Amino acid sequence: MSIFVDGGVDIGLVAHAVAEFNRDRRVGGQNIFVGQVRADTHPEGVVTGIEFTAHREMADAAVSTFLKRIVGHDYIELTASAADNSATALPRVFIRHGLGLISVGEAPLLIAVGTERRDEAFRICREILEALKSEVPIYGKELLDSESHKWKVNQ
Amino acid sequence: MTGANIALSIYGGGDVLDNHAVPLQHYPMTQVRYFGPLTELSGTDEEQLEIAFPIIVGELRAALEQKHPALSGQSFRIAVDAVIRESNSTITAAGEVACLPAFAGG
Repeated sequence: MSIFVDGGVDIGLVAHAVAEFNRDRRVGGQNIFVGQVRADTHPEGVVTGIEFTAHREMADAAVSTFLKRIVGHDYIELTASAADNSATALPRVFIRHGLGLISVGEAPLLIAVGTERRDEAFRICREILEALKSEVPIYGKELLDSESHKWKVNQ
Repeated sequence: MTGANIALSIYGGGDVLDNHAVPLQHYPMTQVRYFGPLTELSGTDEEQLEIAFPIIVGELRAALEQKHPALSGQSFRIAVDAVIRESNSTITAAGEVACLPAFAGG
């Protein structure tokens, strides 16, 4: 199972993740992070979108590695738990990262975390976000209104 | 440049990254992939190269920089068959070499 999808992430999936975690009677807190393409202004022009690429095989492996470290288990897709929530390991995690062209205002990233208590929901969501930025071979080409471009650099 | 004996030549229809003084044999073609800004500096997303194994990662990097001078001085890591390798490690075979600059996801 891969977290990667073509284009911007469907924000309807936020409700999907929340509803699914709602059904898990062990969950006491959820934290959601949505990353959005911002219309940054550079000397060369204003960002209109970002074209994301990745080394897919390495990216999938990197996600698996950091999830095992941060939440203690590999990625489990939501539908796998439909019948019996108790069979799905906590913390619950739902992640999507878009690839290809994603315009300003669209979302390249969605992280949803469901945990027993609030502190770990915030901490795990943040740790997954930072791992996605620093450990996964993903690249972003910022397209500018001047028809030039600039390579995204994570701060 | 770590190995003055690295020669970049072309034969058999493919580019050869050869660290032997005299090419003794043909090697299987290796897919070399470039990511992020390296695609522009190398002028391509990927290319098929004939690499004379065994080769040290640092030597491979030097040969790639010789082939694409714009890569010189750039910060990037080299992954061999999807595993990032240290510059002093030896590669005995590779189906794919990936040149990976700083990640920029999220």
